[in-house]
Amino acid sequence: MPDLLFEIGCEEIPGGSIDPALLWIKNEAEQKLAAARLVHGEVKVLGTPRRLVLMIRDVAMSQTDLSMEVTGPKVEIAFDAQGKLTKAGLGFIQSKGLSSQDAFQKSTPKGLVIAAHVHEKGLAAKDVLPDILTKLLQSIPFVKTMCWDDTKVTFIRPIRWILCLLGEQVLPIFFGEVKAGHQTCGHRFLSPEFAKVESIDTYLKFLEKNWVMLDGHKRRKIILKEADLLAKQAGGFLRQDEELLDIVKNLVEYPWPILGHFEEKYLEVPKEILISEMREHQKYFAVTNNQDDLLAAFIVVAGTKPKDKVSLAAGNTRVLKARFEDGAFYYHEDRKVSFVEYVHRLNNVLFQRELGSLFNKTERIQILTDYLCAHLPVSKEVKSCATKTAQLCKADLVTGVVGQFPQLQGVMGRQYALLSGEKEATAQGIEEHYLPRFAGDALPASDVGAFVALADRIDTIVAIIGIGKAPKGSADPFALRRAAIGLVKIIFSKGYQFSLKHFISHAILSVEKSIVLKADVLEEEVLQFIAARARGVLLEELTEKKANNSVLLVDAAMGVGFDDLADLHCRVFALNHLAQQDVQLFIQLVSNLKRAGNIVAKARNEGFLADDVAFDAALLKEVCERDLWREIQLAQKKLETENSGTTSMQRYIDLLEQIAGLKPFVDRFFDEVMVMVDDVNLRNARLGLLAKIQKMVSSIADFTKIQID
Amino acid sequence: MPKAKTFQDVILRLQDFWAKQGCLILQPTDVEVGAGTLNKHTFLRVLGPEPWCAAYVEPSRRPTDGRYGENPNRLQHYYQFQVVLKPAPGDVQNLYLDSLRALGMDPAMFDVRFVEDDWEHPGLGAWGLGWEVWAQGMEVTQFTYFQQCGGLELDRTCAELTYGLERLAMCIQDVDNVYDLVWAILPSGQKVTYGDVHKQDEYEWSHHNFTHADVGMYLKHFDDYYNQALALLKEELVLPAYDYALKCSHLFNILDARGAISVTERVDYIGRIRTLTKNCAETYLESRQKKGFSMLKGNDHA
Repeated sequence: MPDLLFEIGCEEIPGGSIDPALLWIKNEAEQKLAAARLVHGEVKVLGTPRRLVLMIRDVAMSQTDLSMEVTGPKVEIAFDAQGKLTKAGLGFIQSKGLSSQDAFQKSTPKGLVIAAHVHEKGLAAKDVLPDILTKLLQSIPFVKTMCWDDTKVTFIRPIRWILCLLGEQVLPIFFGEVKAGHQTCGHRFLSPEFAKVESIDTYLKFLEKNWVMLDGHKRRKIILKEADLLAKQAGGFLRQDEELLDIVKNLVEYPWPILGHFEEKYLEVPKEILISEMREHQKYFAVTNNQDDLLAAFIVVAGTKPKDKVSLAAGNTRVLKARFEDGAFYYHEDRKVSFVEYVHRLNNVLFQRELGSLFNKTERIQILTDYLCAHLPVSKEVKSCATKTAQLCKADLVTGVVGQFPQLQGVMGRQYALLSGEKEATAQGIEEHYLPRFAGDALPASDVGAFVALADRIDTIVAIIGIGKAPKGSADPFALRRAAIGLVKIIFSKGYQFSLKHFISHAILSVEKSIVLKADVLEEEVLQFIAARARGVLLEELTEKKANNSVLLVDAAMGVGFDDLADLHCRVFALNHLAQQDVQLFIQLVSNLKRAGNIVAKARNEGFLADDVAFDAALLKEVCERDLWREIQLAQKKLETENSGTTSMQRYIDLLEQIAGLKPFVDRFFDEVMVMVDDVNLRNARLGLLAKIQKMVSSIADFTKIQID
Repeated sequence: MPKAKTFQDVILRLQDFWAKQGCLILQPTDVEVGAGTLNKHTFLRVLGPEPWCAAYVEPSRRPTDGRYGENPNRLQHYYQFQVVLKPAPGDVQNLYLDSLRALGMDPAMFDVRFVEDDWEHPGLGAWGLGWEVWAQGMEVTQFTYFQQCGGLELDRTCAELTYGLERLAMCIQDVDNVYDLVWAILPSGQKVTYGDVHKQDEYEWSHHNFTHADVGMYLKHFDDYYNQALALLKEELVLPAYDYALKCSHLFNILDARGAISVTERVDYIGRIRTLTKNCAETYLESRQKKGFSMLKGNDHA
């Protein structure tokens, strides 16, 4: 059976669009061929900046014949009283290309309907494929497309040739002014002539001989391998940069890594600036020593076999020199005024039209940072650094270096703060307050960084939701979800215990004049918004720990509140600790507690039980209930004496273990006594006993909400 | 082809090459502009169906790029060589590469690459897709398939090639500093450098752009020219109106370099410039239509 070879020859396609396009082409081709009943072998897609290639082995000569039963309207509609086809029945039959004698009746769940067998002879692959491939060409989803000739067809960049062979036959495909043929070409400069190819195999051989490495993975591998060697040659190591590798592999049809050097004097400029200059603008790899400091060398991946490596390296060094001079220029200019001065310039930068400038935002961050310092146990030193960090945290946004390299925000803030004599803790806080920047990113290590990060995030969330711009569906232009997830993760990791609700209402105070929502409505909306993110983060963390029943744990724990997020985190993981120790024990315990909880709740609802759980233990008369009461008291005493000095999570684990220890006694109690007896005092005592247990766990979770299979 | 030895030789050879490809060799505009695209020979002529192929040098002013003559290749005043081809020829990429060969640059030798660039000019309501062309890592040309201009979709796709003449010459002459470029070798054998011609400009204009430009005067002139442009548009005097729009664009660039425009105002100023350029584009297109697109010939008539 013939192979299909389809090469879309283009002017240089943007690197980032190549892999997504290839993946799409593969999926689409597989789907469309399946839908067209064309059997085929292996499907492969490969590409370079100048070609997107689809290769399908062993395509069937023709479509599989179609044979199927079709059903139509109900019999009473399709046939008249004489059993002849009505207009509706005839319409159905004719729409399938059949005539009246092909119709029969069939019993279906919908009743008796008209039916027929349809047989369709498969068409030749060569007649079906051109349409499929043309449509595929027209519908590759690129972010931005363009016209290039008077036919006004669009693609990501102009298509200049199409190679399309089924076996040895050219398929008639037209796109704009281009007509598919049996020719391809090699490397733009090293082998530009077009040549005829007959098959996938001769095509691949042709490219190999003519300086085109069609497989992106292969290009990536070679770049990595050779760049590694060159870095060693320069006496250092290749700076790991997976993202840059992915970009560079798709900037060339064939990679030739080259080592270049620059003057040592530029190493005085912060390495972050130098790396940005190299990677963002020039796509060069940096070389480091084993301390992760830069060496005065770089690696560029040329796209044409260098005739003169020295001159090529020198040319690339020339560009780098100008760039470094520029980085040094901004770095120098930025330091002409003290860093604090930039805070005032934030007045000129809008945060959001309704919410004022970045300077205004900085003022709010300061207020909220002070609030956290006042409500958490911190040293004077941390407090003063946090206040300073809050004031300076956005100042680097108006410096020249960050203007050139937005990704250096925070990094430059740290540098400039240190240079103008700020404390290390303040400088570190400035850099860290942007963390986490993306899913999986590091969290602030210092309290200073964490406080300002929390203040910044709560302000953004409250202010933006407050002006009615909460995220809708997938649209989250202010990245509020990410901000809330960051906030939750920082609180979890740091164990900061404070009232989220009060924090929110404090944040509302400082934007009150700008918001359109009522303060209480806003407070509730923000609380729920953050709670939903907290739930997500907890579930994610539990999944990482391979927890079972994670939804159950989280919902039970959140059922008794989430105002103190750090506490919530402890409760969830204490529950999980127990659950992972002995899942059977845990489930039985939970079902016991649920039963106790339900009985108490029902009794309360029906007015049998007052809110306070005081009761006369002397009334308990059965052995099992007196034993239970004794164990409860022992457990409580033990918790009181052992509690001091342990973490919150450990306290919860201890508590849960004590309660778990009650299990045999609770079991016996349920087996042997009836709670709702007629004797009011006894009933109250027994209810009181259960309420006592419930109260012990109620600080951890609400087990009545749990469904266990 | 031997290498173009001097800066002026680069210009002469490019003019010669593109003249042979059927381009009109035109001259720069006499209003300060940030790029050759703003010259009416590009901005207005890309509109409508009439074919248009032109090439010209454009002295370009980018006040914020001033470095007091201290950076090896950043300048607040530099030269572009602008080529505009309507409709874009099917082999325009090869034509471009041939123009490099005409300068004595072997594209293979210089590791020439076409690196993605989405070009956009908010003040002109213009965008296009294409590349930065790199030679040994240096961006020497912007290569754009123009899609929209003055907020109008283009009837025919134009190719716009904008050579950065200094950078190109630095590659060819193999010098690391723009001021060391040889501008000309006189019959006497004396070499005149780019620095001889322009270094004092860079120093003085950088001081002007960053420190001494009179903000009050520039703000006032912006309003004056803006109003004049609007008045001229009412009279359908589109070419004079367009010159005033260009003046506004340049004044804005100076004010921007002076740090006199806040972010909020920035949007507003760019919006006003776009209003002018958009109006000019529409009015110009109408005026050509009224003339029956008189430059359409033969096959170009639908």
